Amino acid sequence: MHPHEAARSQVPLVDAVLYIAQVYHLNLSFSSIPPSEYETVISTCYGPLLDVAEKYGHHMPIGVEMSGWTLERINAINPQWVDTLKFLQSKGKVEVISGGYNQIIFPLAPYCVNEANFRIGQAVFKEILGPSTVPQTLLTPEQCWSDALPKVAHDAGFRNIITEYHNCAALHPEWPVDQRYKTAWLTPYPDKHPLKLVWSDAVVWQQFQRFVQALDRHTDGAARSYIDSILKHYNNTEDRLLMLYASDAEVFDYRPGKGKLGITEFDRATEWQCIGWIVERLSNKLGVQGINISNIPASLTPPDPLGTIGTAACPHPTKKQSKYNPTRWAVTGLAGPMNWQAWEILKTIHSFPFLHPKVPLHSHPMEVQKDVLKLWGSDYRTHTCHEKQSECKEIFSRLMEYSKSLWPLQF
Amino acid sequence: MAITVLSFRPQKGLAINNWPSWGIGTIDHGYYTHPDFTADWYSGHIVATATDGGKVTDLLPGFTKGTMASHGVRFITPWFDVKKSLKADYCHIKLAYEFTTSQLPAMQSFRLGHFTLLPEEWDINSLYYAANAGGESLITYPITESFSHDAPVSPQVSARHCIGTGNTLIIGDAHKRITIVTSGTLYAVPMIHFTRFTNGQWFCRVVYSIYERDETSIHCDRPDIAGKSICFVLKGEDQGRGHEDED
Repeated sequence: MHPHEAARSQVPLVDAVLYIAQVYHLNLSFSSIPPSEYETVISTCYGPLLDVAEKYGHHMPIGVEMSGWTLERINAINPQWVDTLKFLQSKGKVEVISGGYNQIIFPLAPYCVNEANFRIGQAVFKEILGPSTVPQTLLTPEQCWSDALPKVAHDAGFRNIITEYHNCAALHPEWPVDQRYKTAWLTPYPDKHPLKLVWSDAVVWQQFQRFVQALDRHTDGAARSYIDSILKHYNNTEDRLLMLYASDAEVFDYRPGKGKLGITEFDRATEWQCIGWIVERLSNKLGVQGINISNIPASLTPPDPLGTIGTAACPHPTKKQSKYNPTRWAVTGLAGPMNWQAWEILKTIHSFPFLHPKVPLHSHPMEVQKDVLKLWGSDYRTHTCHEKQSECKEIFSRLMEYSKSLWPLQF
Repeated sequence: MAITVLSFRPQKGLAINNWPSWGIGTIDHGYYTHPDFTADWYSGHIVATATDGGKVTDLLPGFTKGTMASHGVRFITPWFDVKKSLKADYCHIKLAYEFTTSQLPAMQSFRLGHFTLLPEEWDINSLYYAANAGGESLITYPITESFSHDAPVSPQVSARHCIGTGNTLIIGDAHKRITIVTSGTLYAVPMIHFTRFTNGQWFCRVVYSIYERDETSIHCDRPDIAGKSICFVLKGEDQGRGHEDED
């Protein structure tokens, strides 16, 4: 049976709404995607994503999250894609969400780097997409939380922050169980506007990914079972919010490190077609409503603000399973030397000779600031392919040259 | 009357025995009755653990008559040579490690800068740690329930968590605090282990790691330590809490 004819589940005819949000994380910095693959990734993953938004975004709008650096690369390679993105955002079918200028593990980087990351990210979005498209929502980089993040995000002008629910909730048995389906207020400044915290849901997004990538997804049973698993989150006594997806866009019809998927079955739909099918199915369900992050109704946010999320045991709850913890980007594999290098460059350009007091990062040329942010990128710390390791070395050399040029006397 | 600034164990890799007033030192075997904790809990040493479970420390005799801990003492282990130096005054400790050579096998973890809290010297009811965690100000976390950042997630993932510090970690209670600052050519992150026992005893230790294992270790399975160094400066101050707004 064709997937479009499968899954006939219906929710009861009642007043409550299950709001469905979805956020696709576009990341050309992806550690195992070499620069030579960027064009393929844009055409294989990012193009079809906008096709889904074009076709179904009116009912089921789509969050497109990326870093400023990724937006710059896409704009250089395929400016038509950027034009389409702008058009779709103007129609409300897409909401552009920021990941800063680069994907940087917030708690591991110093304040000046995090501040620059959000500030420069916003400037790049404004420059490329126009003033009306500056993102209001920040996806926590690698969904690695820090209780210091809301203040820095607030300073950068964000209104909403997305981070992963289950890793935070595991630290707070006192939270009500329906917290999963609500948003929460964060008040980094008691006398200023609060930030809205929106939960992504690693269980739900991993199920989404598994279904889309499953070889048996075209079967009637698998399709019905998947749609049913989403509709189980519906509750006829209260409105709820569920984030259907909040992870990589480069894992559909493409596998980082392996490349574009070949179609192995004659009549098998592509993974992006399958995503379109899911979105269409859900949009046809009574009681289900797609929503942009910025349009989440205030009624979903309980009035009392959330306090500190991290605990002594786990100050930085991170996405997915426990192997994803900040140690991954701090000292495993290649990470330790990378972090030392990034700190060293920062110290050097902060305190070059004969200038006192220290020269803050924001006083250096924009290209230097961007290079510093690239060096702090999480993707240079994991499964970094050879091309990206070389790219990283080039950035380091460039910054070393720059820091040397600051010395009035060469020796 | 002479004031003891710091005592250390010359035959155990210059392990810190006691830093009076600031509550850092070694807890001897027998202090804890829980079977998992019947060991000597040193401070200031190195523990390198290989993927095959092999373990090497620098808890070795190396201090001979005429040498000075402040000038550095060389320790030769099967996996690395390290020169350690230890300087202290009433409210500061400077502990430095300089690695000269290394022949490390594939590593599970490489941890140093162990600082064990002496329970009698701390107020357990107000114990906390603080770090800036990427922000401008310190975030403070009360230490109440047992946890161990340094515990493995699985045989393939050697640590559960670490603290984002910007090179500065504070541990304190209502009466005092210790600020730990790292520098050098090796990058390290702190982890804390805290256990509260049913008999009222407790154990708390800060440890720094320069290497942990996870699946990304296929790209680099051991730290490059030869010719590199790391230094810990500990500063003790009276009055521990209420510093959330400091940089």
